[in-house]
Amino acid sequence: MQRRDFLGAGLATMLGSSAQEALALGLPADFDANAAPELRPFAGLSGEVPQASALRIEGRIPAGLRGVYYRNGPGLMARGGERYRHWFDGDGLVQAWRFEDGRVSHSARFVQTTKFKVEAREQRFLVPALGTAIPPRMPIHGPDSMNVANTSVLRQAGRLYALWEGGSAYELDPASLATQGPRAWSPELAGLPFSAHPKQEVDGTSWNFGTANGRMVIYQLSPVGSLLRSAVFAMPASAMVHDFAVSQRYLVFLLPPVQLDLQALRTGGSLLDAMRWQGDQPTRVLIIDKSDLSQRRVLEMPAAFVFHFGNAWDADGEIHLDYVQGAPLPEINADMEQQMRGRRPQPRHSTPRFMRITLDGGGRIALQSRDEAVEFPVVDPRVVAQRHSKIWYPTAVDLGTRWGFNGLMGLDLDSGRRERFVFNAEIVIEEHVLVPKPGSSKEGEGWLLGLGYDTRRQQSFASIFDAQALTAGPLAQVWLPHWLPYGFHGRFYAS
Amino acid sequence: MKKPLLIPLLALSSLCTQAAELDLDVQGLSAGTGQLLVAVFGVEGWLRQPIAASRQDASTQQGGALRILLKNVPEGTLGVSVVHDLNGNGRLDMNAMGMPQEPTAFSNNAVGQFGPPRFEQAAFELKGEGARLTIKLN
Repeated sequence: MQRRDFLGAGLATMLGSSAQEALALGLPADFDANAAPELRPFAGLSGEVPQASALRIEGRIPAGLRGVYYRNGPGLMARGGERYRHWFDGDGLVQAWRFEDGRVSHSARFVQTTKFKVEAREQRFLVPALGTAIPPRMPIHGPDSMNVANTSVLRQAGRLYALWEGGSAYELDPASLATQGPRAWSPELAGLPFSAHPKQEVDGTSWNFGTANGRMVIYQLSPVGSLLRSAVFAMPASAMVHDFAVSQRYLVFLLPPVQLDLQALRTGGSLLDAMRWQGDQPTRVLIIDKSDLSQRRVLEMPAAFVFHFGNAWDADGEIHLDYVQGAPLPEINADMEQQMRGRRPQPRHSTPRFMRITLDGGGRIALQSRDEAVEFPVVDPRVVAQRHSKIWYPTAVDLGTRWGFNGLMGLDLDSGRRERFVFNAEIVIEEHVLVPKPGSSKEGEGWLLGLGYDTRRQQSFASIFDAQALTAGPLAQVWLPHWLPYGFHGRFYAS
Repeated sequence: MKKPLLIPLLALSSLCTQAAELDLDVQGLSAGTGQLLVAVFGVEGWLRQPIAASRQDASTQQGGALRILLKNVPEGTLGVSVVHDLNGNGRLDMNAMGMPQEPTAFSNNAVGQFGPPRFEQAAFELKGEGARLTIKLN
């Protein structure tokens, strides 16, 4: 410790405070966010997670907000002088924000995946990451050897899971966040991918999927978390399927034209580097009948890349769904590489899309779009797989070259009317989920709850809005005394 | 249930080329159940067509280690795969997406990137005096 302190002090004198911070975080020299302060949280944490004993509350937390907001995201970006090149690579850091009678507490822990434990012990990365070609320094048995459990969470029948796109769900203790291990839904399904975007219907039934090696697995789980049905089948080639949409009767996937270049993989490229965007090929729309998983049909649409869906519903032979269309994969990956070095990527906006699929005959697809810069769409959990009329997104308004979002937008699908609240350019806004108000029944009667980062204070916060009065600004902001890395997705579970 | 599938191949190959002994020290057995399946390959048939093979009851393991001696293995540049067939069904069990569900290992303790290792990673020379390899199951 003394030697490290000495080195830190000496270097800081020579190079300024950023070098000191770099030493404290164990960062290699290729991360510097001084020119883009909103990118600072991409530095990530070392294995230690700062704990906050007292949180500062601005405004008033609604008394009816009772429960836990679990959230997941990539939290550790470097070990032993080696730094990940892609945001998606970092090891999962799960946060729990607990709300009760106007009070709030916070805890956070890294998911102790197989990979995390061995790498922590050896103080270096040992397995390839999605976007960084770490040479395998220990045996790999399958995707779970590389599972970072960093994308979302699911609580079901009292059990909490940290989710990743490519491998098993990792079960955590819902109270302590201690890791219990990967969950197999049945012996036959052990080790199969269980994506980070399961859909929970109002009755507690959950649907999820996974893709690997040109095959797709579908899961239907009961409200108590047992496997009701599953199916594994060959799917149209697509190397990256992140999310899907569920309506009353159908599961809908948009399979972007992304091919895996196996030669590039075998010669040491990362999985993402080996993904080839084929813009002259269609995006395939895979529609699966929920009542008979063998009933599947495929329609085609012009090439489009999508990460996230809002929701879907069907009526009168038509499926309605909404999603956010992103840039094609190569651009996204190039941007990630920039931001992981603390450099602003090219401003590039993902924007809302609304799809109507007519099932009669050969099937027809109609698309509408809007041009607001958004991502991370959410709907009221009471309308999942039902007709919905409202969506909320983080949005970027007048940000110029600054990375990320600085506001929230609510959209009424029936009227096309939008509402939004925009913070100043020092604030970064992340995904906000809709939490129904106790005793309410109408779609949208709830609070928007999510996280953000203040680039000036260098502190992370949770913010709470009345979803029906978004323009009035946050009802409350709850401040951590420190910053935490940006996350991806969360879910709120009422107590 | 043992299948004598590979014995004709073995006999055939030993007629054609010089043969030597291959002595394997397999470590890291997690259980004494089932059997070890050992296959030896040349570059041409890597992980598809073995030129020699052997099975051994895993109950003979001691402290997670087991010796397997293969005689009359054709000399040359070779690669070895070892599977701990835990349930003794004679094959490497895969899940519904083709991912191995039983421990495996390769000569040189080679590790693949998104799949099994390439032949070059696992390759070693077997000459007249024979070879002894240590392979750790994972």
